[in-house]
Formats: sequence, structure tokens, C-alpha cells
Amino acid sequence: MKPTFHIVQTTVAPPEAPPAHEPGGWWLRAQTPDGRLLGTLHGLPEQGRSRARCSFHFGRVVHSAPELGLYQVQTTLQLGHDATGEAELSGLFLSAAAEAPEAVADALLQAALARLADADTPASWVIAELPGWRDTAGCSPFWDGLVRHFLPPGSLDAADAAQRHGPAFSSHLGEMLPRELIHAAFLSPAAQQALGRCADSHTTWLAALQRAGFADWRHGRIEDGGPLLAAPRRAGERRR
Amino acid sequence: MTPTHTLPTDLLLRPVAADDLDALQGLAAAAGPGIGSLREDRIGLGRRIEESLQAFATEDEDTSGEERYLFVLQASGSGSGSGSGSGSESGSGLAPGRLLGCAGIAARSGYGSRFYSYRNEFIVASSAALGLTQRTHTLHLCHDLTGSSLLTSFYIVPGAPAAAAQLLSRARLLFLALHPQRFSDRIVAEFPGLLDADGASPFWDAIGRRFFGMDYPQAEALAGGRSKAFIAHLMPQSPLYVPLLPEAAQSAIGQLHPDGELPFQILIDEGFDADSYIDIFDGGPTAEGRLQALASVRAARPLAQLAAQPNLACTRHRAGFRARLVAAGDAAADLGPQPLATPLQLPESV
Repeated sequence: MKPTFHIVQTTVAPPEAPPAHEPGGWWLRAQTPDGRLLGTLHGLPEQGRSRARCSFHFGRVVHSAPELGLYQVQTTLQLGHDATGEAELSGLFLSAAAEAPEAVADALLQAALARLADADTPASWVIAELPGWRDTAGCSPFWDGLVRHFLPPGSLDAADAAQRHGPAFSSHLGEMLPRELIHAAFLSPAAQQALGRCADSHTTWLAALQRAGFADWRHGRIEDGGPLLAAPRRAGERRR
Repeated sequence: MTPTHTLPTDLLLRPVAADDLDALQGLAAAAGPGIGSLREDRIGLGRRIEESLQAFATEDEDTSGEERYLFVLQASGSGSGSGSGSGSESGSGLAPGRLLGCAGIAARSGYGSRFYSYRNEFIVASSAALGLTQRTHTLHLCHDLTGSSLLTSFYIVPGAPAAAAQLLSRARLLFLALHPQRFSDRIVAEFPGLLDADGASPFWDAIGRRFFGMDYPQAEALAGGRSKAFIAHLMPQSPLYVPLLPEAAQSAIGQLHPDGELPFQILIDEGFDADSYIDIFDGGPTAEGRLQALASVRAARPLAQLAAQPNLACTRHRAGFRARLVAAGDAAADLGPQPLATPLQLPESV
């Protein structure tokens, strides 16, 4: 069945959508012919120009002593600004009223990737961050298992701070977090399981991103360990 | 502090001898596993004795830093010089010839390899936007203490006179001071860390076990007698963020096993610092000091200049080195000409 919506580019942030991670770029709206909003995303040709963009790189180190029969592969986290300079998709939103949210997400991503493929930017990759997994009480095991240990006790409520500071919260938070390599083995089991795990609320977007050619970039959001996915920017040219 | 009216002047500190093996094995068996450098291993102890004999026999110009000296404390039964001049009682009342303890010196820690420690550091993070500042305790794997001279293998039998422990530990400092060309001026001593009620180390369980999946003694056995550096090399090389460790492991950092309290306190009284480094396996404190700044060394004088008080005195020569407690007024002729002495009871201001 032919989709009953179309994609519109705008510079105005839709009030329904989560904020863009940085200023600049453009918004895409998926809307019905009568103007009803079904979904949005924000495209940015080059991220990190307005603020430091932090993420944890999920790496590996091998502790090996073959003569002792010891061989352990350990996951590590390294705070960095690896996504700086890459293109970005944020402001991901799907209306609950959308009858075919997958189709809406697919169309938004296809349109965004085509625009970014043509953009005048040094970016090699298009990055999309997804929020990290939370338990039934809405708590992030990653926050509890890692982040909170580097803040004064009781000083910060994650949700309140995110609301107050907006997307810049993660840049401020990055100033508080460890700069040196962290072995994931030192995190609680729940925090380890949350590394790179997407929030249940965003599984539709996760699947759509994967259909659009995005893959795990082995990075996580610093506030909740949510995954960063990446697709080659020029791949958008082939999709048109 | 040490009561002078029971000064056990019949206790003699001397280099270990070949025929001390049986007695030394008895001391090692009694010492238990907390003293890693004194294991109940007859072959290993025999090797320690050989190494010590070799170390004492090596001329200054032939030393390499691998020398390991071992001293024993023996009840001589002679009460050498006892009572002269002070009117005080003396003698330990212990059977002559019995070994009461041992203590060692490794000329250079980590000789031929690395001597690993965790160095305590604190980093401060701050965010003006969030209005937050936080100080975080970190442990940095380091080789800072490699090449320092290491005080090892301290053990004294339970119930030994308090002054005997002073003699056993501090006579080593006089030996170091008398032979500085053979040692570093940086002196280090490792002390056993805290164990839980089951004898397990919370520190090892939180760190080493994650990378070895076994108890530390098992890891050590698996290493097949290789140096601790071999095991350390397999540990995380990046700093550890202490807040990420379990509470029990955090509490064990720098905490002393009760077995180490006596020798630890003696060195702290000397002016050793125990806040900077910890053992990488059990988190026990590693004490560190500069030889010339240690109280016994600063107070050391020819015995004749300190004759008015009880002292700890020693011979000046490496060969036939002897040390004992000397009562006030005792010239200690048995210790040769011009014995070097340091007050048994150190003044607070030294």
C-alpha cells in the first residue's frame, strides 16, 4: 500500500520531537496530506562544532598467558570525542498515531541519508544515538553502575538534569567522568548488560536504522550506555 | 614502650647460618601464609640461607643489587654485658640457642624485573555548568619502588619481649646505614593486607580474581614460582577507579592484617610513610622511607655517646655482623670497637 504521508524539510523544530542534539542542520517531518505529524528527525552535517560530544568507546583488551592457560577477553570503556566531525541524526520521533511507524521511520531515514550524502561536510559517517535501556522503574543500570560513582552523592537527578540542560547535559556530564580506560568487569552485572543496549521505547528506530544500513559503532552514550549506530555517509548516494 | 627493667640483653641478632635451617623452617611454619617472603618450603628456605650467606660474603665492589640478607634473632643465654652500670635486670629467660625470629633485606626490590605497586592518587573532576566538583580515589599500577631496598621476612615468635621486636626490625636499619653503598637510600616494606573471616582477600577478589578467576595462592602456584611481576603483568594496566570496587574491597585498601601490626608500627614510628603505595594483590600497605630520615638512623651515634640510656647497638663490620640490646652504662665490648648505637626508646622529636 502506498504510504499516505510525505516528507517535508524545515528548519523549525517540531514541538512534539525531542530536541536536536546541536543547533544548525535541518528537520525532516513525515506528515499526512492534511498536515498531521507522524514522525521527525534532525540532520546535522557535522557534529561537535557547538559543544564537546562525548561517548564511551567499547573496546577489548586481552589478558593472555598461554603457558598458564589464561586467556581472557575484557570489554573496556574509553571516554572520548570520537564522533566529533561526523554527521548526526537526532530528534528521532514517531507519533503514536502513526499507523505504520516502521514505514515512517524508513522514509525519514532514506530522505535524511540522501541529504547528508550530498552535504558539504568532511564527515565519513552518519551517527545516530539511541537512549540506553532502563528498568521497569525507569532507572538506568548504566547510570547506577558507573556514572553516579563519579558525582557527589545525591547531587544530581539524571532526569531533572537532562530536562534542565537539554542535550548539552551529556557534555557537562563528560567533564565529571573518568578519562582513563575502564574495565567493564568492574561494573555491576546489570550495568555490563546495559552497554550498548537500546531503550525499549526506541526499538522501532533501532530496527529502522539497521534496515537503513546502520550498524553498531561500538560506542555508547555516557549517561545511559545507549548505543551509537553508524552508516557510511556516502552510502546515501546509492540509495537514491 | 619497652620497659628497661627487663631489657633482654641476651638476645643476639646475627646473619642466618647454614645450620639454622631446621629452626628457620619452624619459624616459617609458625608465621603462616601472611608473610609471602617467608614460606614454609624447606628447599626455598635453604636457598634463602645460601643467598644470605652469599650476600654477606660479597664485597662491596662486587654487589649487583640481587643480594638478599637474612638475619635471625637468637637467645644467647649469655646476658652479654647485662646489668653493668644500670642496676637493671636483664635476660630473656629463653633457652639458649633458640631462634625467636627472623628479618631480611633485599638489596634492590624487583631486581632483574619490576616491583609493582598500586599508587594512591586522587583526581578532581569539575563541571561549572552542573555546579559539581568530585574527588575520586584511583589506584595506579606503577613500578615506582623498583630498585628500592626492601625490608622482608619479619617474623617474631608470639610472647617474645617487646624490645626483641625492636631489635629484630631496627638493627636492619643500622646495617643499612653502615653499608649504604650496597643499598638504595629508599627503603620499602610490604605488609600483609586484610583478609575476611574465611581467609579470602576482598581486594584480590574484586580485582585479581576478575582476571584470573582463582584465589591468589592458586594464581601464585599456577605461576610456578615466577615472580609476582609475572602475575602483575596480567593485571589491568590502566588506573582503577576505587568507587567502582565493592565496598569490602574499598575498605581493604591500605588496611593491615593483624599479623603485621607489630612490625608495621615499628616502621611507622621510624617515620615510614604508608599512605602512598599498596600491594597489588591484597591491598596491604607498603611503607616507604628515606634511610637518612628514619628515626633510628638519625639518632645513631657511637655507643659511648649514648651510654646513659638503653640502646640497640651493633658491630660496624659486615662480616660477623652482630646486634643486641645494651643496657645503660654497658660498653658492649663484645660488639667490637666503637659499636654503632641508637636509643632503644626514640625521643618523639628525633
